[in-house]
Amino acid sequence: VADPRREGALPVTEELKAELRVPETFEDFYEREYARVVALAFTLSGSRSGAEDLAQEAFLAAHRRWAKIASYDRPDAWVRRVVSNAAVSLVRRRVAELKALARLGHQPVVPELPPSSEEFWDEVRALPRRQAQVLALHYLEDRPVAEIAQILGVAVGTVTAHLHAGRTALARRLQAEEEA
Amino acid sequence: MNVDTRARQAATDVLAAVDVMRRSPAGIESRAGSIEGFRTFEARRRRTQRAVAVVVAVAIAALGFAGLLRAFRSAPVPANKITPDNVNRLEVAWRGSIPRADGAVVGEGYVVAYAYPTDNISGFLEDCASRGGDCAPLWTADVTVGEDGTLSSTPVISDGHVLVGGERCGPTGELKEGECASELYSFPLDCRTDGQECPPRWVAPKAGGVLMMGSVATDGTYVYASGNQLDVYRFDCGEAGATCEKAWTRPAGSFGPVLWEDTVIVAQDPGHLAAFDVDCRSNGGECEPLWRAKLRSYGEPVVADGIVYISDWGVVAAYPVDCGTQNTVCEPLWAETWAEDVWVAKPLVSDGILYVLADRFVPSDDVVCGSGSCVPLGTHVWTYHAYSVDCVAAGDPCQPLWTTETRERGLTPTQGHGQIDGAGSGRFYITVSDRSPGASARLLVFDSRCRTDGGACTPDWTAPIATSESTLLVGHDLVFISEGREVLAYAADCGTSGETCEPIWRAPLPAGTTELVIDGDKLLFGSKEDGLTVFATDGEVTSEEGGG
Repeated sequence: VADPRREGALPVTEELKAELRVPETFEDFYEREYARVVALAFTLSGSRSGAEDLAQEAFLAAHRRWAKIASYDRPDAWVRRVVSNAAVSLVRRRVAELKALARLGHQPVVPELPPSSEEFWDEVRALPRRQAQVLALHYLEDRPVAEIAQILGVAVGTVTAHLHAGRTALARRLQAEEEA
Repeated sequence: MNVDTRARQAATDVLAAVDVMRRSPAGIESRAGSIEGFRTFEARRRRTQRAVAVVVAVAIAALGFAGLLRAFRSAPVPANKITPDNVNRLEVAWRGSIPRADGAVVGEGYVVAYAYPTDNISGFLEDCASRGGDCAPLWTADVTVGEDGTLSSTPVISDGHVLVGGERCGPTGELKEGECASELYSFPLDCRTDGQECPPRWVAPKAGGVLMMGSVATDGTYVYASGNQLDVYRFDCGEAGATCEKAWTRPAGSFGPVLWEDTVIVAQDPGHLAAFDVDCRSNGGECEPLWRAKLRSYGEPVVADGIVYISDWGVVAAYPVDCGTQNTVCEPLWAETWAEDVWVAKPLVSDGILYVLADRFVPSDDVVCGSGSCVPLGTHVWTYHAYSVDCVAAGDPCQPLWTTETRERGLTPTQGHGQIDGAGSGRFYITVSDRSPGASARLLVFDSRCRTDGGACTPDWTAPIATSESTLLVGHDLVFISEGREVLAYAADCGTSGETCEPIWRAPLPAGTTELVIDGDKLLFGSKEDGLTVFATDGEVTSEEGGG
């Protein structure tokens, strides 16, 4: 397929880029995905101050091999998988970084979640790891089961099973919480 | 309210919170230039990898294995320690021929240099060359097996081995694309002498796909490490090549662990401190903590004389190591509190005194802008407090023995080193850098018992320094300051009435010098420019203590 941009015949739309598989720049990818990935890390780790660090790690990994990752069908899925795997970790690399993070956390810019949402994500994190990942991707990003399967690298049936089990367990926990 | 409704609301709240974070000054600062940072990081990593390969190949080609062995074995073994009497005879003993070192650890006759973020470690004999010579590493190891490995811990030398945590990412082995597993490696110190890659003696398994540690602790037999599902592991590792099984685990830790006799103490992020009996299980099962305590957020435990100290937002607290035996919820033996927005640094215990640093940031109307964003400037008010450990251990409501306050103006909220610099030889050391007009960076040195009535102390002596970002090392009645392109040594007792002291020894440093290390008669440091540098005295002054 000839690149119509060279002929000036067509505007370069997102659809056209997708059709021609024009690789996205890392900068564009970063700008588009960063906040969502932070949110995912936020919900899975429970650490507001650590979420950005986790996201940075994932984007750093993506940047290192962007030439390859940019050619993937779903670079966004790749970076989410990395974050999902790492988000349960709250261990920082080095004490100095811990201090730096703590100092960032010191700034009055890390908002508290409303108590009901805080409790909800606490309960999600208490679920088995895969269930928590599936629920976060499903509710936070509103992704269909097939996409979640692609992100996590598992079968659609597996996602369905985790989603069902996670929702059931969550309903039980939330009900118990409300009754308490 | 059903699950769906609550989930949708919770998701909306998270996205709103992240939006606030992104628009906040601190959020902007944390990301400013980050894309450029990614590029720099990657270019440096590749350069270092190439340089390591070239250096190792050249060293082997030039000297051969036999030559390397002769070079290693011909070095003299000085027996004195660095003191004010012989510090002026410190000269470069040898340089480690590696392109970059971000630090070094010493023990059992070996120096292990490590480099972040490439996560190479290199082993050298501690006395590997004659004066001024260059040393090639005995062996090297890359603890990030996969291309995307990004995590590692500071190495620890124990019982003939160096222990280090690392990470590898797929696709490699059983790991798929995008999957990462952090692991704990043990390398024999005498692994090789030919500069080649050293295979690990054992590798701790990824536990359910995860084992990520910031640091490890060892009692010589067992290794304690934190996992990334808030676990703490005790490893009892076997023969070469064996997979190391965890002896026990407990969802608990991410900071530390630290050891005190038969207790391992870990701090969980966020919010918990927990202590475990090191022998609580031997079958790989879970352990119940001996005791636990609630923290506000982050904290890194420090243990001294059977007391655990930990600071947190607005509080420093002390707990006895033996404060519970059956999952007891412990209250602090002693605590001092400030407002919740006051950041309290990791405490330091030395000479029977507990030193605590509290930081209050007072924003001004100024901002500094760059990369299309701006962050506020202001003043850090650093308040140092010295408490008697005896008073704290007795659980009394202690007032500080003395305090002192410094200010650093013209900084952003995250600037300023914010750590306790050092103590020892009956003195307490502070570095301060004030960016206001006419001000300069200084080292302030206090008598550690300058007052006992809670009043403010003034320094015994001071010295001009390049920046408060200097690294400081106290030992053998000396204080070393590494600043910019120079290292300076001062006698700890050089003044008593506030005078300005002159250094008694100074030497040029390579760029990017990291923390200094003293080991016997040697002063070591890594640098980003010249790899590893080892200073040593000339061996003519022999102290009674011996060593080396």
